Amino acid sequence: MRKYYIIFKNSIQANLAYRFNTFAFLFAEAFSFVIMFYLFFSIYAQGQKMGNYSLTNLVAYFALTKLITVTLLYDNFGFTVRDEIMEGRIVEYLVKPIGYMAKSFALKMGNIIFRLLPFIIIIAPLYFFFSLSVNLAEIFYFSAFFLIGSLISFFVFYIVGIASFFIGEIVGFNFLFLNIIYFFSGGAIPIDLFPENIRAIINFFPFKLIGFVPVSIITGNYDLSSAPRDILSGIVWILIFYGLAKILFASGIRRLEAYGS
Amino acid sequence: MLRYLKIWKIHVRAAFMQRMAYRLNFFMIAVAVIIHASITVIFFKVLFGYVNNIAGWNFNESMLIVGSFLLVDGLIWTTCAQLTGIPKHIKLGTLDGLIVKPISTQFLVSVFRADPEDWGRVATALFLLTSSAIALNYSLADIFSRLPYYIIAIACACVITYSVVAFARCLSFWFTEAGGTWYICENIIRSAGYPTDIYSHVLVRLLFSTVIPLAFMATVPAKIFIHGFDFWLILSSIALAVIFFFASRKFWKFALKHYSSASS
Repeated sequence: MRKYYIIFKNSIQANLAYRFNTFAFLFAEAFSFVIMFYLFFSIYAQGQKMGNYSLTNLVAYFALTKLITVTLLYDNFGFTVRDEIMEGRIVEYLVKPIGYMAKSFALKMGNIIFRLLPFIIIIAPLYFFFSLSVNLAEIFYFSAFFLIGSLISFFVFYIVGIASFFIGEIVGFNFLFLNIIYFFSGGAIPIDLFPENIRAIINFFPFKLIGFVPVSIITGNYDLSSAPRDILSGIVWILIFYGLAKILFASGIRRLEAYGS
Repeated sequence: MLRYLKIWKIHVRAAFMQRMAYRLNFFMIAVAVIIHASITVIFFKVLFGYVNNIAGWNFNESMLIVGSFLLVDGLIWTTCAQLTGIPKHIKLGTLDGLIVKPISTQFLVSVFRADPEDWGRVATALFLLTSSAIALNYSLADIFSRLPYYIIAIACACVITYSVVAFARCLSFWFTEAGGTWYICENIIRSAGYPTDIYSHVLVRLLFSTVIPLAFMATVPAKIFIHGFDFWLILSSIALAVIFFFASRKFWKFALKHYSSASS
């Protein structure tokens, strides 16, 4: 376990070494959030309304979804796996007493924890600004869904990364999945604002557990009685992704041709 | 000028061949680019399911803004790929080789990468503009009388966007591992896809018309498409494009002085 902790720690340190990128990223996201705020402010100032959302609710939704998607999705994790495969560095892990998936997970967790720090700094004032109030049960379920979202994000981009075994370059796959997950997680627009037929498609996939569900818990738009069912569905999807990742990795290793010392 | 055009064409061809080395990847990016563009359209479609207008813009007019934004964004990606060459050359130290070439270094790093899959974004934009013009009941005569002015506004928008991106990318001279400048460029450009009339505060509107001229990246071209020739809007677009381009040139030269080679 200690070896994975060291990888986890290294991941945080690597993020700290390139902190300009993280701060550039946070600045850029904050900029786009301000634009979103003005967009909805202008709509509500005209007396118009988006579904059952009040302006405060909608702005809080976008602020929190942005923070969660920034933390869980935009760390280019798939490219780390791709680079190790395409440059042959993956061989180093095959001959060491270390599990590649567990090592990658420790790396991903390092990325998430590093991004959580600004997340907490930003979320604390938002909590008071938007007059959000959460009870212990909501905090518990939010944490559970955040963990499930982290695992789903990890497995999806891990699978995208190991697709390099089969197709080489995965920029396209990565971009495609990023767009799909961002949209299906409610990053572009709250899922309950979509028409019924689109909502049914989105609800089939587990990506709403990454953004929409945990954020709706905080904004008070989620019925907690659905939580056990959603958690169970999240666990089932994680198991499916886990199995798929195992099969693809084993099959990829059989195809691997790496040269060098 | 012809020499520059020839070099650009060579880079575009090389970029295409490079992408074709991984055909499935190229296909996936092309699909992802169209999905990415469609998400913006869906966003507005859902929004207009609840509201009649956004700061005075109805759905079809808003689609003219989105179309203009996608057109500018697509052209920037297909010609210079948001200047990804700048951070890459600085990080790898390969800028050394470009500086000594008998041609503008800024030009060389600008055309270093051109993404052919982003023609999908341009096609989506043209489809959106055409369908919105039809939905707004514009006659062919209307469209053709406004087209030359619209093209001027879009050309200015491209120059302004290029310059803003160049400013952000030049930060790589100080922060060597500065791939993060991409996020800044992407979010600024994406923000141009909303009508700038949403900014109710005068200072914010002024900021997005001058310092970060989001207004001139998509809203102004869309206004020209809707209302036709507007002397002040055209003049401001041209003036801003010239000012921003020369400012970005100055900043590039200033930043280049801070370049310390990373190669041996």
